[in-house]
Amino acid sequence: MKLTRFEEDMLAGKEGKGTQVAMEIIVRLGELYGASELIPVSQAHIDGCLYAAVGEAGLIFAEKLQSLDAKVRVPTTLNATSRDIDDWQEHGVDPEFAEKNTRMESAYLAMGAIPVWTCAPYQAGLIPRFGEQIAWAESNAILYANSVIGARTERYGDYTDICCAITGRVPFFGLHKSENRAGQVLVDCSSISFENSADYFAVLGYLIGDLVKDKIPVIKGLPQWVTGDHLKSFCAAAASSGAVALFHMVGITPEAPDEQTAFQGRKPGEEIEITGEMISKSREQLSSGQGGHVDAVLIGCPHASVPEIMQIAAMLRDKKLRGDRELWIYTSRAVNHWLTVSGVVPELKAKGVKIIKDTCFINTDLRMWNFATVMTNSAKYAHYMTGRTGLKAVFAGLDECMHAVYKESEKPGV
Amino acid sequence: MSCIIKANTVIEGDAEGELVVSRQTFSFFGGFDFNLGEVVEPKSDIYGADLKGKIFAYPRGKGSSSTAGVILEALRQGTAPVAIINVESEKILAVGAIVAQVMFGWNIPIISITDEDFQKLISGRHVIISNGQIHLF
Repeated sequence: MKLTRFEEDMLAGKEGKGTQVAMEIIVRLGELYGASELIPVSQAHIDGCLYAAVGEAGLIFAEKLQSLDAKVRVPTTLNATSRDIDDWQEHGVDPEFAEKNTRMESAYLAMGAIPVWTCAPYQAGLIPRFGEQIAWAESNAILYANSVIGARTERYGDYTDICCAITGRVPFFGLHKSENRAGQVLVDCSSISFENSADYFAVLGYLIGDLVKDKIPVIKGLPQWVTGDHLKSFCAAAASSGAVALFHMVGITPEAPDEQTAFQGRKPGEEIEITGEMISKSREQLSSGQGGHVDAVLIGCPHASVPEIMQIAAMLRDKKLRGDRELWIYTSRAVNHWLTVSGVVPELKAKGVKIIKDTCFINTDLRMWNFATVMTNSAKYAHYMTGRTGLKAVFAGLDECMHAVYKESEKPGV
Repeated sequence: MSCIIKANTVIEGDAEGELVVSRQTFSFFGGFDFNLGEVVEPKSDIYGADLKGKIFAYPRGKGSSSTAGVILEALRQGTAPVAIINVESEKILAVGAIVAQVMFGWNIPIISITDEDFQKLISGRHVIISNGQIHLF
């Protein structure tokens, strides 16, 4: 691999031992995938800071880099951590577990990363421009950055993410290169009737991710009213059922003004038509539990946005919660702050809704709650729920989720 | 009947053990418990399988970017498979293995084979991986 003089210096340890180790990992990765050079990135997003996901090895790794005095060379944001940093005690998180998180958080902060603590950094973090070369981890954020924004990142994961940040370099391979961003599979959605809801787009993403696996789909037939929040749900779902790192939506995403451009003039290798029946089947697959008894309703995977939380507040206005079921909304501390100032968060909290920031239901310690079944409008939560927590998940739309938590007599029109 | 399958080396190394084969895409995050060494995704065709000390074959990866983290912790705890066979090995998995080598000196060989050869793999068979080849017994 061809390295610049400065990159050679990093590899030789002239920029410190921490940089040297990070460079060694980046060069190994590049060699493995046949990259002939490295390129600079302007920013990074770190996924490896989630203690519950990576365990003790992840903590040892982070503290080792810290002890080698590694520092990030480009602006670097941090993904969710495994607890609400301010309110973890209120949520019943085990103190010993919280202590591990404190160490993990401290290690990444010591390396100079920015504590946005969110899995949706594209809504409250460093937002790249179209075409910008970046190094992001967190599968939903990778897909959103590549597809919706048109920035360029590979599917980085735990540990390479911070190595990219420390060196400010990535191998010039994969989705960093224009020619590798061409569509491969045509997915035609012209014959389905779209619903204006996060769960509909989550189901569609779950289906398409499962169908195309790691290929780049070009999806046509989408309505113009699709929002960033719809696409957020789509991305999280498609990156759970598949290994999708980039999609194009004709007339919606920036590299797909038309079908031909999205395929870079090439022919699709495969064509798939999405039917209403396929959507229904995909929706059924997302529930591992039945309706009926639900212990809690979970919203915010990926982290809920300002409009999403405002919508929930509007749906619950003039309603009382049942009291025997929890409603937890996961969001970023930025969104939490804005909506605290605007009065929406206090309004929801007064009703007994928990607004949980910095973290994620499937990546924390919640043993004390003894939940058995939860309801969610997130396909990613539903997909990982049993494997990560042992709980059953009921996948439902936002209306059904809200009906599950407020008093029956308070239904609209009654 | 024993046979030899030629493989592409993703992460170098030799290994020997019993084969566990899934025909589905797999995510270590949410699919594998690093404390138990078991497959915990109920929809998996090998749900409940013990991967500890086994040679784990699945065609392709999927899902979360935390897979690298899960692999590293499994290696630390000694609950990881001893080698992985894919048709296409994804970067997130390879990274976990590279970091394990560079930072900790732990080794998990990863190799890839053709779709056609993958069909020859059957759970329970004894396998030796050596010099970029799979010996299937």
